[in-house]
Amino acid sequence: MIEAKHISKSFVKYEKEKGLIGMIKGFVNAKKVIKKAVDNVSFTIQEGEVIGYIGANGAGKSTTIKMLTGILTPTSGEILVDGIIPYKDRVRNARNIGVVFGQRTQLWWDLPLVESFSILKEIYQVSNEDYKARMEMFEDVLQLSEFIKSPVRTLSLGQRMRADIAASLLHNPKVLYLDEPTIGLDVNAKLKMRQAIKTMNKTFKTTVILTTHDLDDIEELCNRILIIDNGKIIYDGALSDIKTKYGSDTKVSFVLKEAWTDFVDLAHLMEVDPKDIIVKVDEDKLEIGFDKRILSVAHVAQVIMKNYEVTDLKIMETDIESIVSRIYNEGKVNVSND
Amino acid sequence: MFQTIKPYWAYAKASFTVGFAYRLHILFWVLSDLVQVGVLLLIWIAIYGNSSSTTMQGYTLAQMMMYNLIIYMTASFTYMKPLFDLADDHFDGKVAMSLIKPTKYIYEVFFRNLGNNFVGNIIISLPLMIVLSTLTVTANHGVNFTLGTTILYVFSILLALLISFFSNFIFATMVFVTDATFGMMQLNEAVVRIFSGSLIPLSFFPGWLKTIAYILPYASVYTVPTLILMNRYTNSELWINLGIQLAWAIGLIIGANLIWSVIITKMKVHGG
Ligand SMILES: Nc1ncnc2c1ncn2[C@@H]1O[C@H](COP(=O)(O)OP(=O)(O)OP(=O)(O)O)[C@@H](O)[C@H]1O
Ligand SMILES: [Mg+2]
Repeated sequence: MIEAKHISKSFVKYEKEKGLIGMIKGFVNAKKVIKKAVDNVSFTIQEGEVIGYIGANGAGKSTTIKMLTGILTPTSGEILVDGIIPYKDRVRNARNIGVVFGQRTQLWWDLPLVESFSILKEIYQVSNEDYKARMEMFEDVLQLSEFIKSPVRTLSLGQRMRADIAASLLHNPKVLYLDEPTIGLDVNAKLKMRQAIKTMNKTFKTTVILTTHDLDDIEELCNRILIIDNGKIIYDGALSDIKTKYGSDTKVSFVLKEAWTDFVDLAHLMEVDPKDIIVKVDEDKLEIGFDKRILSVAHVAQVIMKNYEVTDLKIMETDIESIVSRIYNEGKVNVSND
Repeated sequence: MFQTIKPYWAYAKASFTVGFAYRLHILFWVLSDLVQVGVLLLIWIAIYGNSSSTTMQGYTLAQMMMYNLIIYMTASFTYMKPLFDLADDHFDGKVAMSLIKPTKYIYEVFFRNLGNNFVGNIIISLPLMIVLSTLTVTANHGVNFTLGTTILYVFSILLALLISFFSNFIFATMVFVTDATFGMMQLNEAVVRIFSGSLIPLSFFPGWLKTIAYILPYASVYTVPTLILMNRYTNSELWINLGIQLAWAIGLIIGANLIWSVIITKMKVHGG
């Protein structure tokens, strides 16, 4: 459905020096800085897939989405969406896609919500029957009727976002691009939003590409994730693979009755190689990090409790948040070394 | 053709509805305009009062006043200001929301402007037209609207509308390049004001300024329809001017599309 081949997008920025002199100098010859927002990115997405596209702030997610939707033209590389080159044949491509940019709206600010829908109905030439059926479905999932007669500018963020996702689905697009669709939503609104995405995907085999900073969205919706860092794709695969790889990292922290001072070789006590455990000490706090597949929590706890008097103990398994934070920090994914 | 235009009418309808909701704004803005026209009329009265002859450049005072009213009406019939749309869309990145729609941005903006234009027509131009017609019927102002000139006027206005939009659109695309909206607006206003004939009839201009005025498209937007309605053209002048209008309209539509197709590939879309 979607094929991106070695796409890059560079932005030219003109750096101006500070102060009046700098401003005048900048006017004449500003320093040209080239920022590669997206750097040689390739991927293929099949029909019906739900892809999570994640990465730190400024990684290049929105820029990629803008190229896929035909808003921006790549500096180099090629994109095909359902056989169409989006930035060359923008209008034709636009009929096949729905887009939500979380931080802006495609609704008419000053008009009642329902008017926005009827305008979009005409723009996309949606038939009366389809329109009715779809509005009913939205009502089921997104409950728009409580505010459908209010001007869009009076809607709360969550209401507006629900309305925007409905707007993007009105013409039953083949591909749905969602750039941070759950930004600023409360728990219930998020659930509704996810429900709507799931329903569309199940019923119409809609292909979905979703960027988000909320990893619950990803866990709930996506079978595959792409991680982008500094414009480069650093991971493309199943979420579960990352979880098994990093998810086995476990930490147990103990609070001891007395400060830990004897510096015994804990690895030896636990009968493992010293490089298999990471020990951190801070006076009476002792933290041991290890891979669950090598050592068990029970064994670690047993060894420590046999040798020291423990007043408190906490087990920390890696959640998806910390996995991703680690990946962002390292800027790479180590899936190969097992 | 009808099928391809249909989606665009939705934009016109939307901006008409929004514009009509803000009709009070427009009304105040019209009032300020009318004050300007009033001042202009007073100035002409003073000029004619101090002049030894009763006509200037072939206009009696009454005709001059009619000229000012008609050119004001013409200006509001052809009011298209894509600069506002483009500046707005560019600076907060709203253009992204237009580019995801299955419609061409240029024509989207055209129809958005058309919707606003209709609001203006209902509030300004049509009432003014009625006032002017009654004026000509009840008092002799040396201007006779005939059915012929009125039909030609409507035709000329339609061409002027296209010229107005597409010339201003080309001007407005510079916002995407220079990022300098306010300056562009001022410049646009000043150029139009001087070279359209809406301040002084172009026949008052010295030769070289007249040449510039006739090289620019603005005379085709304001002066030509106005003089057609005032029946001041000879037959051959009439057809030549309509021909020039048609040429401008076609040329500018092609030009605007060309320029836009270049800009769109270079454009930065803010935000995200
Ligand atoms: N119009 C522009 N001009 C210059 N630089 C830009 C422009 N748009 C984006 N960038 C730069 O490109 C990089 C990628 O931006 P992008 O918006 O794609 O990030 P993102 O992954 O969506 O981040 P976030 O999670 O914060 O939304 C950033 O460093 C940004 O500063
Ligand atoms: Mg973004």
